[in-house]
Order: sequence, then C-alpha cells, then structure tokens
Amino acid sequence: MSETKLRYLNLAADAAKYVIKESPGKWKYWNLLGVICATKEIDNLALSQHCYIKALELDRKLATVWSNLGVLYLSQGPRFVRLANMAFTQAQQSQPSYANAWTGQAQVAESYDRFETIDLLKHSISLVYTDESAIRYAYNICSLISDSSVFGTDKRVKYYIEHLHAVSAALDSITWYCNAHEPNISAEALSFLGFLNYYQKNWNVAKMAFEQATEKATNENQR
Amino acid sequence: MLRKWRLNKPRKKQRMKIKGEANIYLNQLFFFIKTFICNFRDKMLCNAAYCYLQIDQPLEAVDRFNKVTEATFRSTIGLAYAYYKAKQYENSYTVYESALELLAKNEQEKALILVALASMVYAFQGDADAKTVLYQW
Repeated sequence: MSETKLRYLNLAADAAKYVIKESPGKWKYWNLLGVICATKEIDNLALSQHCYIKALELDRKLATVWSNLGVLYLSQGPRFVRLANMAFTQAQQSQPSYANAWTGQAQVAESYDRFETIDLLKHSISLVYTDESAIRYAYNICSLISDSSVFGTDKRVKYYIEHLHAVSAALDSITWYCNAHEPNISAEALSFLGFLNYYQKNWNVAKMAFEQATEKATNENQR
Repeated sequence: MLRKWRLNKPRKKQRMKIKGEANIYLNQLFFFIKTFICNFRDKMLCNAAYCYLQIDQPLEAVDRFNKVTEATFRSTIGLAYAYYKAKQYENSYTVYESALELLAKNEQEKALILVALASMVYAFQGDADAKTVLYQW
C-alpha cells in the first residue's frame, strides 16, 4: 500500500514540477509541490519550505501558504516554534477568517498558556468547524475541569465556565466531531463526550458514550 | 582464520545479548500498552457505572464495576455504594471494609469509608455500634 502511495506521490511531484516549469508565476502550483514534498512518504522538507517561500514571493497575502509553512515549522519541534508562530500570525493578518491559522496558533500556544489556547480554539470553532479544533477544544476543557489544582480556586476558570459557557461550547464541538466520524469514533473522543455530558448531568447520553468507549477499548485490547 | 573466530565469538554473544535486551524492552512496551488500554477501559467502565448509579440502576452499576480488571479506590467505593443502593447491605459492608484495608491510602480516604460504614451501622444497629466503628481507626 505504502509503495503504491509513494509511486503516486512521486508521479504527482513530477507533474507539479513540470507545471511549475511551464508557468512559474502561479502560486497554487508552488503550494501543491510544497504539500506533496511535506508528506511522510516523500519527506523532502527543504524543498517544501522552498516551494512555500517561492509562493509567498509571488503573493505575500496567501493565508493558506502561510498556514502550511507554519505547520511545516511546527512539525520540526520546539526549536522552530517562534517561526511557526510568525507564519500563523501572517496567515491571520492576510485572512482573519482562515480557521486553520487560528488552530495552528492554538497548537503553538498549548505549550505556553492554557487559557490562550482555549481562546484561540474557541475563535477557530466560531469561524468554521474543523476536526482538530473541535477535539482539541473539548480536550482542553475536559482537562481544565478535571484539574483539581485550578478548578474551584482559579477565578479565570470560573469565568470561563460560568460566563463564557465553555462546557456547553465544548460539548457542542465534541458532538459535531462525533457526528462527523460516526461509525469510527475514537475511544478518546467518546470519553470526552461522556465526561462533558456527565458534567452537564445528561446521565443517559454520558452512559451511552462511556459504554461505547469501553467497547472500543475492549476491541483494541483484543487486537 | 583464528582472528576471525576470535572476532566472531563475542559478536555472537553480543548479538544474543542485544536480542535478549530488545525482547525485554519489547515485552515491557507491550505490557505498558496493555496496561494503558486496560486502565482506560477500567476508567470508562467506572464512569459508565457512576452514570448508572445516577439514573438509579444499581444492578447495572454493580455489573460494570465487577468488570473492572484492576480495582482502584474509586471503583471499589463505587461498587460498595452500588451494593448499598441495590439493598445488598452485607456485600456493601464487606466491600467497604476491603477498601478500607487495602485501597485507602490516606486519612481522608479512610475517613470517607468509615463515615459510610458508620452511617450504615447507625441505620441498622443504633449509635453505640456506629461509635465503635468510628473509633476503631
């Protein structure tokens, strides 16, 4: 399977290179080659970075390309986090309604400030639904509620839960996520769904979610 | 030829040693993964059981608590409470006692169980026996 994938990806890369040679003034082709080179199978990150930068030289207000560049830097570990942050900021400035840029910046913020992450993810979800932001938001709210060191003592947590209705928003986001992945929902997503429903005292829904999560975990264990 | 033999022998030993170590690490890794999945499954079973307790289905809760592979403090006191709600008081008392002896790690957890035990004793046998339970630790 992976060999076939690699063969097709190589063909795609060759096609993209040919198209770039024919018309080097179109940013979409550079972006395409950048995305192909950043895949796990090809893993030519230097060429990928070069392609994104070439695309940005053609037009500096491309949120998609800035965001892709940010993801590329983010995947290189903590050394490149600042560059990733700058790329995501540029993407936001180019197109404030581009949700992936906000999700990416939330991922950058995750290692620094929990509340900043929650704010960014909430903004991202309010723009458009994406899988990453939905499950990350639910995860962050679940960890906030279950963290006994801050829950009940920190005023900010109280503000988030009572005034910003963070639990309801997280419940909505995880419900959307579960609906989007209906037959193959992961056990973790089901556990978040159950936990948030339990907190909201929807016992029956919580019970069903936990039962499904148990079933999934049992299947995984038997495998 | 001799030199080759001398070189080969430790290499083989080393290979076997590395293979043995790799097997140990792999076993540890599998054990860790299995434990992690089991723990996750246990937590989910426990949470489902607490949901059953909230909707007044204690027998279902007992069933879920009994499926837990590795008993924890939370699962054991939940089981005892489920037995209590199912009016199986003797089972409840036994499970609370076992939780007190085996799983309660600190004074707060012990106090929690003792209060539950004492309230059961007070309901059935009066205040004198309840005091005995509370003063036993």
